[in-house]
Order: sequence, then C-alpha cells, then structure tokens
Amino acid sequence: MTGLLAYAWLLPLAPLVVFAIVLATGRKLPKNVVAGMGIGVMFAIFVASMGMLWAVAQGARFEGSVPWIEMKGVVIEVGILVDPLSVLMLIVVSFVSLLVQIYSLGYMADEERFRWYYGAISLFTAAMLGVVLSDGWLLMYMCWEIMGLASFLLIGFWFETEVASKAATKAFMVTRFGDVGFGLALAIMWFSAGTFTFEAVFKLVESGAWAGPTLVVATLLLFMGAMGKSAQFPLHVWLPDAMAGPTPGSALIHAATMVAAGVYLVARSFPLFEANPQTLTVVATIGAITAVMAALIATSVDDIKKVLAYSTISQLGLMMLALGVGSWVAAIFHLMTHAFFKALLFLAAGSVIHGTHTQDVREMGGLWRKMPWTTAVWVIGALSLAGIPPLAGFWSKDEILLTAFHKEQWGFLAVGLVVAMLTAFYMGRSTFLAFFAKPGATSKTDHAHESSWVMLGPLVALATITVVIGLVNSPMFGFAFGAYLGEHASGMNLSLAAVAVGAALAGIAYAYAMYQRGKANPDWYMRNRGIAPVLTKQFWIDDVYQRVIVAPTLVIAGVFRGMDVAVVDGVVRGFGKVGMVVSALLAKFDRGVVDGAVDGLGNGVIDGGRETRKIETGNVQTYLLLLVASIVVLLWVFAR
Amino acid sequence: MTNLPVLAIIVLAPVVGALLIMAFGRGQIAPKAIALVAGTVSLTTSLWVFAVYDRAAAGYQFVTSVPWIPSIGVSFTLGVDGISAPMLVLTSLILFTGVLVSWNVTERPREYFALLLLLVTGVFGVFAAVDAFLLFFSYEMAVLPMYLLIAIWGSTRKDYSAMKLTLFLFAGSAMLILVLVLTYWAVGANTFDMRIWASHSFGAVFQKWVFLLTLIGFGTLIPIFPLHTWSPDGHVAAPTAVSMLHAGVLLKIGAYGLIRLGLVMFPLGWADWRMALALIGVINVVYGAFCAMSQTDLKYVIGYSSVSHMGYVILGLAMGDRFALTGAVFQMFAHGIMTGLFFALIGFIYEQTHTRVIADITGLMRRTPLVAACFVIAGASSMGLPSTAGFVAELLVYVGLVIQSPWLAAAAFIGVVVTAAYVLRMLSRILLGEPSAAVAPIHDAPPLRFVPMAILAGTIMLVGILPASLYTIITGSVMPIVTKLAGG
Repeated sequence: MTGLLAYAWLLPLAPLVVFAIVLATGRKLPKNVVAGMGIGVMFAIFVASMGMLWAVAQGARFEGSVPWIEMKGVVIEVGILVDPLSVLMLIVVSFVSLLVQIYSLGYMADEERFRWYYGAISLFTAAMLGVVLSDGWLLMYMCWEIMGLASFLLIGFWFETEVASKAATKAFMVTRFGDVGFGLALAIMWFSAGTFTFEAVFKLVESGAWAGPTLVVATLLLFMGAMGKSAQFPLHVWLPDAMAGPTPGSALIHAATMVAAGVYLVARSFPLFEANPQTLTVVATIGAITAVMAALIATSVDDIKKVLAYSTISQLGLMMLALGVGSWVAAIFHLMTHAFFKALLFLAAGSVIHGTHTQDVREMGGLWRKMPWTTAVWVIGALSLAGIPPLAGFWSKDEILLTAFHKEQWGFLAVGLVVAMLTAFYMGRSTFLAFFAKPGATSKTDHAHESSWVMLGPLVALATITVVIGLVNSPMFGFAFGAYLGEHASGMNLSLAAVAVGAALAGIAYAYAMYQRGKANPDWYMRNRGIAPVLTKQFWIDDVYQRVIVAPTLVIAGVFRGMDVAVVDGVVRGFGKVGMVVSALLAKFDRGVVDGAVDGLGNGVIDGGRETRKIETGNVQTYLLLLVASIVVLLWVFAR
Repeated sequence: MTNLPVLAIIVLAPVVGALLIMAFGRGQIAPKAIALVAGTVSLTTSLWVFAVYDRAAAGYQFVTSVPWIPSIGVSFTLGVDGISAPMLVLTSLILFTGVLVSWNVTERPREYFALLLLLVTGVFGVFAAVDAFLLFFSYEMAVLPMYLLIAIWGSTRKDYSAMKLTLFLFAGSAMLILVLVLTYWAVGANTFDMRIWASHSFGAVFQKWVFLLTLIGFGTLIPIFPLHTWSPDGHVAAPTAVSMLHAGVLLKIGAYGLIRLGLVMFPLGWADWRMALALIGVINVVYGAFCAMSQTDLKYVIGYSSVSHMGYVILGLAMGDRFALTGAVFQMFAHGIMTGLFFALIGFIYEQTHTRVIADITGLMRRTPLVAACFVIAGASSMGLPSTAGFVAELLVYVGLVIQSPWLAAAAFIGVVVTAAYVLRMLSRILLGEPSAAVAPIHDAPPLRFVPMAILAGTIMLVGILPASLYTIITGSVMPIVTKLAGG
C-alpha cells in the first residue's frame, strides 16, 4: 500500500482527462457515457484514497517533486505531498464529488448541457485534488485559480440568465481580489525564503531564518486569499449569489469543498501563522465577525439555498475562529463533518426544489407527508448542523468551543456559543417552515413528489455518514481523528458540552414556538424595527461596495478615458508636430554627418515615410515598388 | 551547429515571398498560398533555432556576417541570443497565424500580403540584427508597410490613425538616429557592431543623456505614458492581421531596442533614469487598465490593455534584476501571443457581426463555443491566472518589484485588480447571456479560422504550464545584462 502513495499524482489527472474528453467530443458521446466516466473515475479515486488512508495511518508518507523552472542554481519545483492531512482531504473531496455526480444523474437529467456539467464538475474536482496534494504554495495557487475558474463555469451554468452571469462574474471578481493577496504572498515568499515548498519554508521559519515584517505581511496576504475563497467578511458577498448555479454543483463546490479550501490553506500553512500571534488574532477576529454576521442574516432569509449559503459562511467563520485560537485539527475536523452534513443539506434542498419547483420556504410547508425520505435526511443534517449529539456537528463544534475554552479565549468562546444558538434557530426556522408547518396561502406544495432513488441514495449515504463520522473524534474511539493528524487528545468537558447543547435546544425551541405554533407572521426580525433593515439589506455590505468601490472605479475609468483623449492626446498631438520638425532637422543633420550610403538608404525610408502622408490608394503600387526595390538592393548586397 | 545561414533564411523568406507575390501573385489564392509558405518557412526555422540554441553558452549564436557599407563600418550581421530567439518565434507565430486569419481578405490581396511580408521582414531584421545600423534600418522598413496596411485596408478613422502612428514612430526614430550617430562617434571604432559597442565604456554624462534619447525613441514604441495615444488608435484602425502584428510584435521592438541599445550600452544612464522609468511603468499599468475599463469598443479595450500590460515590461526593465528582467522579456512574449489571439478573435467576431461594440455582442458562448473558449484562455492570461503565460511573466516581474520597491509593487497591484475587473466585465458581457441580434445568426469558427486561434491559445497554455524552456533561454542572456547593470 505504501507504494500506492507515489502514484497519487495520477489522482488529479484522471478527472482532468475526463474534462478534456468532454471538451473534445462535445455532444458526440451519449450522456450516460459521459456521466459514467465521471462517476467511474471518481469512484476509483475514492477507493485509491481509502487505500492511501490505510497506508498513511501506519506512518507512511510520500513527497516527490519535479523541477518546473531550472537555471543556474535557481530551481522552482512543483510536487505532491501525501500525508494524513492531504489524504483526509482526498477522501472528503472524492467522496462528496462521487455522491454529487450520482445524484446529478437524476437532478440534471433534463439539462441540455448535461455533458458540460459533468465536464465542469470533473475539472473542478481535478483542481481541488491538486490543491490538497500540492507540496508547496506555488502549485497550490495554480490549482487554486483553476478551481476558481471551474466555480465560475458552474455558477454561470445557466449563463443565458442575467442572474447567473452576474453571480459568476461577481464570484470570480471577489475571490480574485483575495487571490491577488495570495499571489503577492508568493512573490514575498520567493524573495524571503527562496522556495515555495511547505517543508523547506517551515524549516526556515522554525529556525528563525525567516521572521520579521515580511513574514507577518506574507501570512496576512495568504489569509487574504483564504478570505476570498472561504467567503470571509468582508469578501463573503459572492457566496450567496453563487447559489444561482445548479444545486448539486453548489453542494460540492460552494458548500463542501472549494469554500473550505481557504481553511485548508491556513491549516496547511499553520506553522507560519503560529509564528505570528498577531495574524492569528486577525484570523480569529475575522472568523468571529463572519460567523455571527452570517448566522444573523441566515435567520432572515427565505430562499432555502441562501439560508444554507449564509450558514456555510457562518460555519467557515467558525473554522477560521478555531484556526485563530490555535487548533488547526479542530478546524479540519469541523471542515470534514461540515462537508458531509452540508452536502447532505444542499442535496436535500435540491430534492425539495426538484419536487416543488420553488426555493422559497414560505411557499413550502408540510412537506414531510409528501417527501418523507427527504424530510428524514434533512432533519438529520439540520440537527447535526445545530450541534445535537450524537451527530457529527456536535462533536466538531464541541472541539472548537473546547479549544477556545482551554486557551481561555472567553470572547471567542462566547461567540461560538451565540453562533451555536443562532444556527439552531435558523435551521429550526427553515425546517419547520418547509417541512412541518401547515402550508400557507402561497404554498406550492400541492404537486410535490418524492425524488427518485438515484437522488435519495446519495442522501441516505450522506445521512449515515453524518450520524457516525463525528464519533471518530469522540472518547468512544479514543479521539482517533486527532491522533491521526498528530494531536494529543484534549479530552472532553461535559459541562461545556451541556451548555452548548442547551444553547442549541433553546434556539430550536424558540424556532418551534415561533414558526410551528405561532405561524410566524410577521417574521421574527420584522417585529424589531432596529434589526429589520439591517438584516433585509444584509448589513448594507453590497451597497457599500457599489458606492465606495464599483461606482468610483467606473468614474475614474471614465475620467481617465476622457483625459486620455483630451489632455494627453492633445498635448501629444502638439508634441508630434514638434517631433516632425525635429525629425526633419535631424535628417538634414544626419545627411551632413554620415556619408553617402547612409544618406541613400536611411533618408530614403524617412523621405518615403514623409511622402506617404500624401498617399492615395491609387499610388500603392508605386510605393510598394520603391520599397521592394530597396530590399532588392539589400538582397543583392547580401548575396554578393 | 550548421553552416546554413539559418537567420538569413528566417529574415529573407518573407522578402522572397513578397517578391514572388508581386511577380506571380495573381488572383485570390496565389498570394495567400505564397505568404503561407513563406510564413511556414520562417516559423519552422525559428522554432528550430529556438530548440537548438545552446542555453548553457548564451550570447549571440548563429552569427552570419556580410560587409554592407564598409566605408562606415556597416555590416549585414545577424545573430540571436536568448532574448531575440523568443522574439523570432513570437514574430513568426504571429505571421503564420496572421496569414491564416487574413484568408478572407479580398481587396487587393496581392499588395496586402506583399506588404504584410515586408513588414515582418523588418521586424525579423530588428530581432536578428547584431549591427545597430541594420537594426535601425529594419525598424524603419517595418513602419512604412504598417502605414499603408492601415491606411488602405483599415477601418474606423484609418487615415487619421495611420498618420498619427507614422508621425509618432518617425518622431521616435529622430531620437534614435541621434543615438546611433552619437554612439558611433563616441565608440570611434568605425563599426555599428553592437557587440563592440557594448564593450565600450561611455562617459557618465554621455550615458545620462543618450540613454534618455533612447528611452524616448524606443519608449514611444513600447508605448510609454504619455506617448501612448497612437497605439490604441492604431490597433483599432488596423486590419486584423496588422493589429496582431502591431500589438503582438511591433510594441516589443520598443522594449527590445531599449534593452539592446539602452540597458546594455548605457548602464549608468539607466541608473539615472530607472526610477522615472519605474514610475512610468506603474502609470502604464494602472492608467492603461482604468482606460481599458471604460472603453466600449472591443479593440479599444485590448488597445489600452496593451498599454497596461506593456507597463510590466517597463517595470521589469526599470528593476533590472534577474527575475524582473527575465519577467519583462517573458511578458513581451506572453503579451505578444495573448494580444495576437485577442485580435484574431475580435477580427473573427467583427467579420461575422460587423460590430465591435461590447453592448451589441452577447451570448457568444452559446453560438460560438470554440471562439468563447479561446476568449477565456486569452482573458485568463490577461488577468495573469496561473497555467497561462501571463502568470509566469507577472510573477517574475513582481518578485523583482517586491524586492526593490514594495510601494511600487503595491501601487501596480491596483492595476491587477482593475485588470481582472475589465477583462471579466468584457468577457461576461460578450460570452454570457442570450445571443444578441448581431450574434444570433453567426456560426462558430470554421477549421481554417480556428487553427490559428488554437495555435495561439495552445501556446499560452503550453508556456504557462511548462515555462522552463522559455525561461532558461531568456535568463541565460539576461544574466550578463543584470551583472552589467549592477555595476559589475
């Protein structure tokens, strides 16, 4: 099995080949063949990843690289690193991608661009596998940007609609802004450390060879990249809009995997961040702000996908908070459980949308009668997200709270608890409104139907995982997860867990009182004049961007354009005239100085040029002849 | 190595082609076929030169020399180093693809293709010249056909633009003649051989002012702010293949000349003016990007984006360390291919829809998926996304810039963000959405038109994913210049 690790570089290439085949064949291949390739390849990758897990758990590691650029002592290498963290990510990515692709057989069946969808999903998976296998920041950044491109393609899948094309553009632009930081961090790293490889840079940082302001700036810039991809305040605005893409694509990219890449980046680079407490504080603070703000907005959103989108932003904030208070293992644990249960929730939401043709929870209600399986798996996902034991979300959230507790970061612990309560509340809200409350006047659930088994199968698989996966880091299994990633178990604090569960239950109870029994009219936030406008406008962040960044940029662009025509060009036109006079003078000067041959050839061209001002199309041949003649002279001279 | 004068083949194949076209190029097909053959000869030969160039030895190779005007020491000396070899490949790629995209030219094809080949001869001559006089002569030879091609086969204010371009370039040449004469005198060895010139050490005051003349003369061509306004106008007015050559190759002559005559000859003068040059570079990057953002004509967007992207070349020249200078040359190649592709695509769209106004073009992805895919690749390179040539170039320039001047790097980074914005804005408008009235009836590029696009797009990806070959050939020849600039 250890030998298997050396072939890990094949994993990202396989789906890339699928993408290439889809590109090359267009519509020639039958739909089932294209989907079969995507699913088959992903299944193989999943199996291989499980094999690698077995090897890595026994202490095997692999690192291999090839020179990308090499010249006189300067070598830039790209390579892969197979260690517990990367294998864990391989499994999460390939498993979710596999289930999403199976589910899409049903969900996307009627789509005209069915093959293109599978191609784009394969491209995305290839890039994401590349990100998690990279042994350095350079290759990671390259795959990172391809991942962004795949995300752009999937958000813009229905590119004919304005919503989708705007959302795709916005997503790319905002994440690109963050990536500019990532790119600048690379430049600083090359200049300070002279390498992009994790191991080599970590050694330099540990030995103190790289320290000081450049390191601080580099970590902050890396975090900027992470903020863009992982939708952290204030770069979170693209993720809710990204829901314009197909729901299974959102489940894979904008819930489970790609958006977690920022968390992975920080976790992977953790030795750099650990050496800079000030950066860690920034990470934790940004994470805390994001977690609370997004959770608050999620309590007021009626679009079931957007509830999940804001929830994702909030949970990613929690992961950043975990990183910021110093435990990358807790962050990765939550990343893993979240990937499974959030994919579950998204696919369940997709099933609801597929069955009801609406995304608005106010237009649903009482779905549990018509869609029992969907309801069951949704409830498991929702309870897990709310942090109810023994589901996965309970264990991983507890780990984050526990870290804050141990590090005596009381402020961040309080934030964690508040977010836990808010999470339970907004999940309770949408669950009751969509599945259990009596359908209202605007309900569209009359023709709702349960989805087919090709869609329910992956849901059941994810639900099963959600029930059991949290236990891998529980006392029952000796905190195996932490041990696998090389962290000593910090035990469990029953009273803290009790407080957290209490907060969650309070949130659910309030949602029950309000939306199951109280009909929720008006909605909770509408009852408070202070908070209503804040939430309905999502803290005005988009409006601020529009006014402070977008509009002024366009104004500057317009002013520069006008200036270019009026001022620069105006001055330059005058300058050009002077230049012509100078040119004529110089030509005379030249003639007087350099002897005959120069005269003939150099001025021939210049005079010819001056003559051409008078040119009319009728004379072309004459001038062409002149020109050719001078070349012939040259040729003759050369041939002699 | 062989005794075949390979560089002479590259340079003279287009002239021979032009002569054959003038002699036998009747009808519609003959001129095109002859031009294609000449282009193929130059392309294969320059690829061969690129492949067998001895990267370990660096310096001028494949040198061929014939006396030309012995009385003043002018010789027809050709040679390539690691900076000019990629430029030859770039030029021949643009020529080859340019001939293919011009296949639909029906107005006076004989003159058109003859002039196109003459233009390229001049460009090849610049890049292969070891003799400064030959370099200047070749440059001048490229300008006249450019004027005629724009004035006759162009569109949108073609007379104005052609004249403006010519005036600017001649104003620049005026400076350059002065540079040539002064340097020739100062060396006093009765030669224009740049290898001998480079080994001469010029006085500090001489260097200061002659470098400035070189900077203005070649800078006009790059084009540096505020001498850039001829360039977007020229891009827009020119027919497709000429836009490709203009943006793809002609602008590189400016940067190339500035390296050859400016940096190599006058390192002290460079040191005097480099901060001003760096500042101009940042202005080019940021100002060009903002100007591109508010344009409504596709060609103007790319025209101003050239101003912006050539700013990185200027920055690389101003920094003058091994990374930035290599990055500058890399960017010359990357930008050449990228704009070549952009103009090939826009030319195709314009031919089909008869419009270049962004607002009138939507939904290309639906009607022309192949063209749309190439647009995405060109756009990705323009934004400097990894796995494209633009990324490698910008990364190298930024590494140099961050080391020497973090504040300039930060300022130039505004340009990166604005670039992403205008490229994305343009691409999302024209590619996404339902096909507009102009786009609805058109069809995707036929094989003959798609081949040049695919060649250029493939080159962008190839160089972006496997940059080693291009990087090593450039950096080998850049190192001696870096040493010289550092005062060694």
